[in-house]
Amino acid sequence: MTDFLGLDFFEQLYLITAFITAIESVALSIFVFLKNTGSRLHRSYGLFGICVGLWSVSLVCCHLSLDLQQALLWNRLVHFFSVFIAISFYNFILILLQCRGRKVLNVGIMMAVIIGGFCFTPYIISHMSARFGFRIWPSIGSLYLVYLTFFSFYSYYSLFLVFRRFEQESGIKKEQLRYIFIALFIGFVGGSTNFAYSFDLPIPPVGNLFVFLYVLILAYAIVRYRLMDIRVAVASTVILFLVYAFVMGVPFYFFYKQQYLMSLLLMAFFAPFGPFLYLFFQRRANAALLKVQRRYQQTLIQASSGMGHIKDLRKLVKLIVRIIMRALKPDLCAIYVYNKEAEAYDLGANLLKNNAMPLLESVHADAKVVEYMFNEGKPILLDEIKIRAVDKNRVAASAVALEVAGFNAAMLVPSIIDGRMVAFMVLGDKLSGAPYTADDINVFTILANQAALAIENAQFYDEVKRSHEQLYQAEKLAIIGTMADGLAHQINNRFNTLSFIIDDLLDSIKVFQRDPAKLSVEQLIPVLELGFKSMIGNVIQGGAVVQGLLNYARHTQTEKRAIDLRELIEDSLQMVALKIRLSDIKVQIDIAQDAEVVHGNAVQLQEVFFNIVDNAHYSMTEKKDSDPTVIPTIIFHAKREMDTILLTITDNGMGIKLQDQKKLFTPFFTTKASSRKGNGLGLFVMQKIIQYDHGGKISFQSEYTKGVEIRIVLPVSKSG
Amino acid sequence: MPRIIVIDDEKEAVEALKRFFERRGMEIILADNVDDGVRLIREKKPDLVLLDLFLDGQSGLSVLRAFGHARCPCPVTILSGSIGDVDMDQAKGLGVEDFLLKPVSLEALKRHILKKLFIEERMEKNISHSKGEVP
Repeated sequence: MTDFLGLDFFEQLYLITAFITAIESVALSIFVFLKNTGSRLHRSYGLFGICVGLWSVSLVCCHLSLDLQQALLWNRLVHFFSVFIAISFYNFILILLQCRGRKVLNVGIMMAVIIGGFCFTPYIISHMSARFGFRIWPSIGSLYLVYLTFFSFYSYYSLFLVFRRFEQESGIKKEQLRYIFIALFIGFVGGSTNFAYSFDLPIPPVGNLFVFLYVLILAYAIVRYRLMDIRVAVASTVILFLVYAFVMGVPFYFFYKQQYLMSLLLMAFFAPFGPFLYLFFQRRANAALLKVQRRYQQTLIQASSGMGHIKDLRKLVKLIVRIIMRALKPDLCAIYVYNKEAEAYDLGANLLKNNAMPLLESVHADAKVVEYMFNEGKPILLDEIKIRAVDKNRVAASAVALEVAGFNAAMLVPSIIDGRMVAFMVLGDKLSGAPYTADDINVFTILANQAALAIENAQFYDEVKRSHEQLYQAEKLAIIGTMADGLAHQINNRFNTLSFIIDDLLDSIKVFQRDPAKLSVEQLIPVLELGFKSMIGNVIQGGAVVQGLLNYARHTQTEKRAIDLRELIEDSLQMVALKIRLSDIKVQIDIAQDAEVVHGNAVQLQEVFFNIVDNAHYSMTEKKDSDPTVIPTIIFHAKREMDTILLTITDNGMGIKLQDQKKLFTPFFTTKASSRKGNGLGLFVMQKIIQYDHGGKISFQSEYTKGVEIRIVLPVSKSG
Repeated sequence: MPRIIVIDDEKEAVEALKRFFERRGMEIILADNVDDGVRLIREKKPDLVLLDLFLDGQSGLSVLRAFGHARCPCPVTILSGSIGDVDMDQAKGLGVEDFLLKPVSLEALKRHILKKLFIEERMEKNISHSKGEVP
């Protein structure tokens, strides 16, 4: 490998790497700039990268120059661009670190213009000559030290600023700064090795061979640590570069070997493959980028498929927190769920580690951070908000940053569905100290979407459950309403009986006082004794009536347990007795031995039996009016059928007309003459209780004038 | 001797009532269901009926309905633990004028009965008097 323009191997390598640097640098700058032309950070990086690119191109051209005059011009351009590399780098760093230094910058720009001008005079570069094996090398002019001082000051001062900030920062920002520092340190130190030969120092410009690495390192930081947010674009740049380095490079090699025909043929051969190769590698790269993420996704999809089945909101929220803690191990994880009534996000569940600060109990829906999350619609890193606070909407974003800092959080994840934010998660730093990566953010986007669905499901279920409960409560009150007359009668009768007995006893005492001959003490005392006993009996009876009502009205327990079916039916009959006289009905209870214990909610089932007996009584009274020979009879019959108990309740009342049978389970349907006797909710609520709350079945069979048979299937108690 | 039929199924209460009024020289006849009540009213022709509205699963008003358009031949006082608007309207439609809500004392009941008997007596006198005057 000799003889290309008479260059030796080292010089060739020197030129090739410089060329690579130029292409990479320009490509990355253009991508960064185009990604967000409105961002000062992106613009300032673009400017810097372009300067580096032009500098490197000039360097290549200089060494490929055929005569010294041409080489001198190119070398002056090399120095001219390096002046602007230094000042544009300082500008980029000021914006990246958000630190003060505008005056130093403005002075620098003025000086750059002046020194840049001088670059085209012999004061900086006097002429070109061969040096240390290089065919051409610049010889310095009298003001070269001024140029060098300027360049070194702005480059190394900027690097110093990056290093100082790196030590103070934490999290993702620290990682970003680490890579920026390493990249630019290599770039500047490598580039600076070019100065030695000019001062006749025998240090070859080896460093320049590594300058091209700075772009790769920055690109890595961009992909890995979301520096400037152009992840995929960077992957494409690198692939584009590599593919064309090959496609163009191989023919170029032969061209350089002066095998022009071969070079041309290869060029023709490779050119059509370029785009295909590019696409092929880009897909591969994407797959590789997403690989870690896929692993996450799989565990998450497994976890979130379980999420949809959880109907209890509190349990669900706890599960989500546990999933996150297991997958990422942050020092803090909390979920805030929207509460419609309070118009706020309430803390649903949280896990804290390492004595983290206590969390806010609730965040109002008007809070800036809520609005910000909603507008973003995707996970937000606190560090990014800080960066954006400089970029755009400075005031609003810094207010948000403050609020986020109040959570002591590193990341916020909104869960949005149908344009509503149903919840958001708050995550602290990972315990390992590692920052959140692009992969993590993708994972959380998926998790947040799944969580939004599941939370909405649970909330919907909650609402339905609550409306059921309201329905039962309404039914209960309605039943109490229909019992009111019977209750008043029962209680007033007790008082009345007491009143009569007392008056009678007082009367007896009066008779005794007036004429002991008529009524002796021996006769009076048994009368009094009997009277008092009757009084106590009535008092107890009255108390039992009130207690029975209270038991029914107050009971709101919803848990199911093993219940003795016979006891349950008897309790229900006692309840019905408050409303109607049961003595003219024959009640038969026939329960098989293996069907004695059901699994259910006693209060609800009591309500069901109450309704059935009440309805039967109504219908049998009707029947008796038309046929007085009928003896009203209700038969409860229960038997075991596999894991269920089949309970049939048969009456010999009027039955149900065919046209009414379809409407039987419709709310507010009633055939009863007056609303005092029935409100039409009974059967509807009964169906809800049996089907939804007990997972059973209720159906009926009836022939008009012959009676009704109601069939109820209930789960058997596992313990019984 | 005034004759009163009490149709009520509260056994202890009506027995105390019976003792109390019998000491005061009244004849008290007890019935605890609709059928007995109707039969006794027909047979005994009482001066007053005390009627409970809740009779072992039946409505006390059935007693009044049993007389149909002929109406109950004697004055009736409803004595019940609960008198709803519907029941009261129906009872009025069946000719009942007096309603007593339990609990009442026997003394108060006595005053009511005496007043009723006195009014009935006077009305009967007036009727016979007017009959005498206007042939």
